[in-house]
Amino acid sequence: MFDLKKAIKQWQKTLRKNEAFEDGYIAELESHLRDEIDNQISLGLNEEQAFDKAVLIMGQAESIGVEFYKTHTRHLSGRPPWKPPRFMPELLWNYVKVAIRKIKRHKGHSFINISGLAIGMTCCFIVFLWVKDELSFDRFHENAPEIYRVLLNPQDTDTYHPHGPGPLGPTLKSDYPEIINFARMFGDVNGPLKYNNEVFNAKVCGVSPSFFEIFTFPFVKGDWKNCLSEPHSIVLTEIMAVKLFKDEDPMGKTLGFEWWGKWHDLKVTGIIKDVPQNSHIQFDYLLPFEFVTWSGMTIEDWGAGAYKTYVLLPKNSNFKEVSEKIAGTYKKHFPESHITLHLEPLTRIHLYEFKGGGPIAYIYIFSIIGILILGIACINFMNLSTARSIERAREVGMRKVIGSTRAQLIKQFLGESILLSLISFIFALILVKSFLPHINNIVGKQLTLPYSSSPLLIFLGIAALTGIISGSYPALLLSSFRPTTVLKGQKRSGSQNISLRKLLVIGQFVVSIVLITGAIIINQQLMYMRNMDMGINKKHVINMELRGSLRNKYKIIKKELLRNPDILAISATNGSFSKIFGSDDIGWEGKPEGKRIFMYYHSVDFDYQKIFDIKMAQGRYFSQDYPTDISDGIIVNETAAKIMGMESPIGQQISCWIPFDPKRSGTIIGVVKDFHFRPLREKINPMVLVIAPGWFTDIYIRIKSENVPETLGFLEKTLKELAPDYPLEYTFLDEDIDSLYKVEQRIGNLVKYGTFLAIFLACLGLFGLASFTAEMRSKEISIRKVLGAPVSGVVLLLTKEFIKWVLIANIIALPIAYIIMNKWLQNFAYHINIGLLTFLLSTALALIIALITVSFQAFKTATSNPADSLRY
Amino acid sequence: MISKALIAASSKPIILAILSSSENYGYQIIQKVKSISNGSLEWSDGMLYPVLHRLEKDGYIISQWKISKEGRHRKYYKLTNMGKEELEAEKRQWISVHAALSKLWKPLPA
Repeated sequence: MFDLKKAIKQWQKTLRKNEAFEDGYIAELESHLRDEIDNQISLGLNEEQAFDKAVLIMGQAESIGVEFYKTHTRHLSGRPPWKPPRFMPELLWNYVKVAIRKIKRHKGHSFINISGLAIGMTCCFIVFLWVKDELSFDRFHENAPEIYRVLLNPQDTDTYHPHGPGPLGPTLKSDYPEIINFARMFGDVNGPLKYNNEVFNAKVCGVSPSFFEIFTFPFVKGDWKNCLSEPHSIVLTEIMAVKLFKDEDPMGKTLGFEWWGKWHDLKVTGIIKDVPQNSHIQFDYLLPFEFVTWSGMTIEDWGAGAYKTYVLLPKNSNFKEVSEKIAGTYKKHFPESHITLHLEPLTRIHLYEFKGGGPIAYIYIFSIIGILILGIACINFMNLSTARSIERAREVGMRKVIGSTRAQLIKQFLGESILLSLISFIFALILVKSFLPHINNIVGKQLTLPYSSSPLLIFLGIAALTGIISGSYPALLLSSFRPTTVLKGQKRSGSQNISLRKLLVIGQFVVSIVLITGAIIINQQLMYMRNMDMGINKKHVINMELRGSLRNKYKIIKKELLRNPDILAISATNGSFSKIFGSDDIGWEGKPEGKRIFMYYHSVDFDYQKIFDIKMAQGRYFSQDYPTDISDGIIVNETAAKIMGMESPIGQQISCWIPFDPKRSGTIIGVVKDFHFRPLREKINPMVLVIAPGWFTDIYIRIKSENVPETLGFLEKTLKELAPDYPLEYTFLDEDIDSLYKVEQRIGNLVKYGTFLAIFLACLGLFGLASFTAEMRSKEISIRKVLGAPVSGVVLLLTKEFIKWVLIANIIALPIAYIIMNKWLQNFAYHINIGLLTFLLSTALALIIALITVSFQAFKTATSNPADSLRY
Repeated sequence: MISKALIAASSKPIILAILSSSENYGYQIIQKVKSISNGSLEWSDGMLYPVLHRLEKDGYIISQWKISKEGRHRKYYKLTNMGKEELEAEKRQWISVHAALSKLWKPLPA
């Protein structure tokens, strides 16, 4: 039953809670309320409804109270005295003093927190700089969002490449109104330049004049409209101009340019700024696109060419639609081709590399690692702060008794953690500054700590956010203490939060163990690739490019060099192991109709087999005893023979396209055993070996393992005599092959550093926590010792718990590591299998590291004199 | 609806005017306000009292507790001399505002 008297009493009570209401006011309001209730009842409501309605009409007690207060106060702000002021300058100073005192008093604790946060931030900042650099690729062009590269996708393959025929660009522009401009480009390729009889190796691109309409390469001298309209003109980058001309003014000067063994005179018509490092188009100088015809290449033929085509679309157009529209253009104009066209946005070229992996995957991986490491540092902070909460419990109690609100305490503790993180921020900037050169070495970039405001502001934001995140939980926990409990001293330790702390420590170790496992597996894979039997002998083989006049003198060079008994064999080829050989559709008798099968083709010399120690599976290798070998002989590898389905390949006819020798066909004279001629990311592909001397670009030289320096000296001397204007540049094959895995090595190194830091931070946190636990339990341990517990027993007691956590972390981390690393290994056609041993190794490693960290403290406690801690 | 600012500004002359005829208590004042304005002046009932207290503090009205016939305690408010003067001043102000607005809004004579 509704009791009006009670209801009104209750209502009065709620008013009394508000300190603005004096008893008199409430009496006045009550009489009003009663009048209203009478009124409502007379209108036909029952008591309960009337009461509710009257209370509603009366309005909110809170706002009425504020008005009452305003009427009676003399305070200008109108803020009631029972509410603490929003800002107390006196307290601010106290907060700072307390914070600094805490940092000073607990040096170890502060060291762990500040160094941990600083290291975490350093990682984050470096990753940020790296990611920013990767994402900045090709965005410096004013038209960057509207530029697209045309990709070619041969039928029946999932490969995409940018090399297309000459007429592609002009045709796209005339056929489709959506394409408002195009640029053709050849290169970059090596093209030596000569001035005053000094030769410099440099990279050249041939570009059409529209190149400058589409891309933004600012001119220092000359005029972009006309600089490449003359056939024998050249545009140099600033760095190249300085190299060639030193202090002279290059404009209008003539210099020599070597192309396929012939020197051409070129006139300098422009100087442009150096190509930024974050451009996927790289060159030292530019020539008119037509220069490629000087060597007999065609730019008019749909059937041949290796020219990149870039197109410009109108602003905000849907490139996918355009891409679908142009897909069949190639086939329309050249029905023999089996290639569909795609558009690739300029800004994606660097990140995705022909729709394959590219750096984008690593951007994700390293962003995650950076954040995780910072996360570990934050966890350390939370763990140590909550573990030590007892030390501040009395402070919290006192502050509350004196009148502090919870919100104020939260602000105070958050402020403290932000202060700590800002101190760490300064250290982090110093660390970034000092480590960047080293990191640049590893990643092969020129990252700098920017002094401009925006990235620094972002860093500062990250630092503040770190402070807030890591300080939030301790602040909430500390501010929740009840003064009555903590001042009585009942809150003995932060042990009631043990389960959350446990989770956090386990989380830290999960991250560390995943990283350890990753580092081990990357390392194993690199070792595997380095030591794998590639089917060739890669030791003591020298590779050099056939440049300029060397190309015409190959026979003489070979003869001269072979005079030295330490030089065993010499062979010319078209490309080295780090370069792609050409590949094309191969024809043979009995090939299924309409199917296109691509094989790599490789031009070699008679001594090729001798140099690489390649074994024959069937038949024989090329031999000078058979003059027909040059014109007709063809050797295939086992994979090719298998694909062609030939039971006895020897004597079979096959046809393939080779530059300078159109429509070549030949007879198979032998089958070589499979050997790896591409990075181990790829399976062994079918390959055709022919002798095509017009296509030699490199020579390989096998030398004896003894007298290497003398042999190299001889090599240098002889080549200097034969081709005096060329600086000799050579490499060793085994080093070349290693450099194929440069990316993987970089990643491996970076993951190693990340792992090291993650473990270091996790251990730092573990150490802090262990020492705290030991401190808390010092009396218990002393009593145990007095009662006769051995040191080993005490150490075990103290470490047991932590070891359990690390083991649980292992159980969680290993499947994660397995999934991630297995995915990474799928990038390689030839890869290791993740073994149990790897997991055991990382488990053991994590355990040992944790054990050392924890037991150091445990041992110290276990061997201390019990009298010291029991005396008081 | 009348805006909050206008309600706040007009509360003083309205209350003073109501009290000028006779002394009265809160509930009655509210009822009068409601009836004269046909409900267009919507006051939250409780908000009246801080205003009354403010007027009393400023010396325009004085209050006295009385017991009604039904035995209910009621606080009656009465206009002081100062309050009467204030009411005249308010009146002049509002009339001049009203005159100005009427001139502006009256259709111009043809």
